[in-house]
Amino acid sequence: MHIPDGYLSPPVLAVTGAAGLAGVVLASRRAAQSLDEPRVPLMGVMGAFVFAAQMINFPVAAGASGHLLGSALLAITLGTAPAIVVMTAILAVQALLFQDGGLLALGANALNMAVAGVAAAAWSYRVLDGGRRRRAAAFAAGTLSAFVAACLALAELASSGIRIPAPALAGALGVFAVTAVVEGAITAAVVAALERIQPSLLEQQQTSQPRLLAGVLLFSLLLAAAGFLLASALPDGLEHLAQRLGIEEMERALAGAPMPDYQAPWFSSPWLGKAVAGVAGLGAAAALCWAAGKWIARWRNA
Amino acid sequence: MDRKVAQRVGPRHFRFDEWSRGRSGLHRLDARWKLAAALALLAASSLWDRAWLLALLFPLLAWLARLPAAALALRAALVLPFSLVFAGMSWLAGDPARALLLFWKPWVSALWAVLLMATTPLEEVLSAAARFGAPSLLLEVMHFLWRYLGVLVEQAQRLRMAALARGAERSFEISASSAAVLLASSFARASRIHRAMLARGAGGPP
Repeated sequence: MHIPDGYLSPPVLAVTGAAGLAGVVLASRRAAQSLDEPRVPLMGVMGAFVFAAQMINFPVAAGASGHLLGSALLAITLGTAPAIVVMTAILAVQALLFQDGGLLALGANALNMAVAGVAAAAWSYRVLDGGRRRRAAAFAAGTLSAFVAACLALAELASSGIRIPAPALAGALGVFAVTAVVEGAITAAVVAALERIQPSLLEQQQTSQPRLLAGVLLFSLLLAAAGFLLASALPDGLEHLAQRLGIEEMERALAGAPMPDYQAPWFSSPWLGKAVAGVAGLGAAAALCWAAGKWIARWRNA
Repeated sequence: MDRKVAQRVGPRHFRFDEWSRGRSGLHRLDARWKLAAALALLAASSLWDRAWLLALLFPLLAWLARLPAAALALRAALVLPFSLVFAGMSWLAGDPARALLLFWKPWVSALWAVLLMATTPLEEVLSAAARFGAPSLLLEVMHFLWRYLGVLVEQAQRLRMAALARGAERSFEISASSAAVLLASSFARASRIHRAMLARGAGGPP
C-alpha cells in the first residue's frame, strides 16, 4: 500500500522519514561496497522487471487475481542491500511519475516496503534455509514481507489519526492476510519456475547477517505495535491530543461522570475491544486499498 | 545535439515525457530550484490546513509552463481513489472535517509532484537530487530503471501474447513461468548492457 502525501502527521512523517532514510542510505552504502560494477545495470533492469512483472496477472480464485509485489523476489535474487536500493528506486519512480505514493511519504513507504519488507523476506529466507528448501523459504519470505509492510503502513496511518469506523467487516482482515499469502505463493511459484530454467540465479545469494536482519524486522514490528497502541490510545493522533482531551472533559461534564472512580486500566475490556475493532477496521481499509490499487493498476495498464 | 531526441529515454507514449520537453521559462529553470520549490510546496500542503489556497497557484504555474492545467490536474487525480476510501471512512466515523482534509490534501500534494515532473526531465531531477546529497547508487538505479521500464513492459506484453497464441489459459503456473522467463532474461539483458557499456568506455580508462 503506497501512502500518498497529506496523510501522515508531522511526527509520524519525521520518525518514518528518518528511519527510512537511514535504512536506505546504509543499504546503498553497503551495496556500493560489495558491488562489482555489473550490478548497477542489473539493479536498474531488475527494478524495471518488477514494474513489468506487475503486469502479469496471477489468477487466484473466483475470478480474482493478484500480482507480484517484488520485495521478496528481489531479496532472493539480488541479496538484501541491493534489493533495498532497487525497491526504493521503484517506490521513488512510482511517486514521481506514476502518482503512486507521495514524495514526502517516500521515507515511510521506503521503510515499509523496501527496508522492512526486504529485511523480513531476507531474514525468513535465510532462517528457513533457502539453499535447500527453496520453495517453502520463498513462500515464507513473500508472505512475511507483504505482511510486515502492510502492518507498518496501517500503523502509520492509524497513528496519524486516520479514522476507521469500528464496525468493520470481519472478512476484511482475511483479505488483508490473503494478499500476503498470494505474494508468498507467487514468489514461491516464480522461484520454482526459475529453478527449472536457470537455477544459477538462485545460487548467487549474498551472505547477509541474520542478526542484523532480525534486528531490522524486530524494530519494524515494534514500530508497528507502537503505532497501533498509540492509535488505539489516541484515535485522533498526536496532534489532536489536546483537542480531544478538551472534548472529553466537556463530555464528562455533560454526562455527569457515570463512573467517577473508574480509572481505565490499560487492558480493560472496552479498551481492548476498541483496539480489536480498530485492527479489524484497518483490515477493512487494507482490503479496500488493495481493491482500489488493483482497479487503478488495470486502468493504468489499459 | 537535439535535446528532444537525445533524451527521449522513457517509455513511449508517456505523457511526462512530452510535457517535460517544453521550452518555457519554467522548463529552463535550474532543476534544483524546482525540486526545492516542489518540496517546500509539498511540506506546506501537508502541514497547513488551508493549503487548498495554494492550489490557486497551480493554474498560474501551469500557464507559465505552457502546459495544459486540466490534464495535469487529472494526472494528479490518480491519488483520488485511495483518498476517497479513507475520506469516506472518516466521514462515516463522524469526522467530516478530517474527511475533507483527507480528500483534498493528497490531490493538492500530487499537483506539485506532477508539476515538477512535467517541467523537468527525470534525469535533471535526479542530478538535482544528487546535488542535494541523495545516494548516488540509488539515483543511478532509478535512471537505469526508467531507461528499461518501457523495454521490459513491452517484453512482458509480448510474452503474454505469445502464451495466449500457444493456447495458454489463465493459470497460476503459466503466469509464474512467464515471470521467471522475464526475470532470467532481465539478468541476461543486464549483462549485455554492462558489456555494451564497457565497450563504449564506461568506467574510464583502467
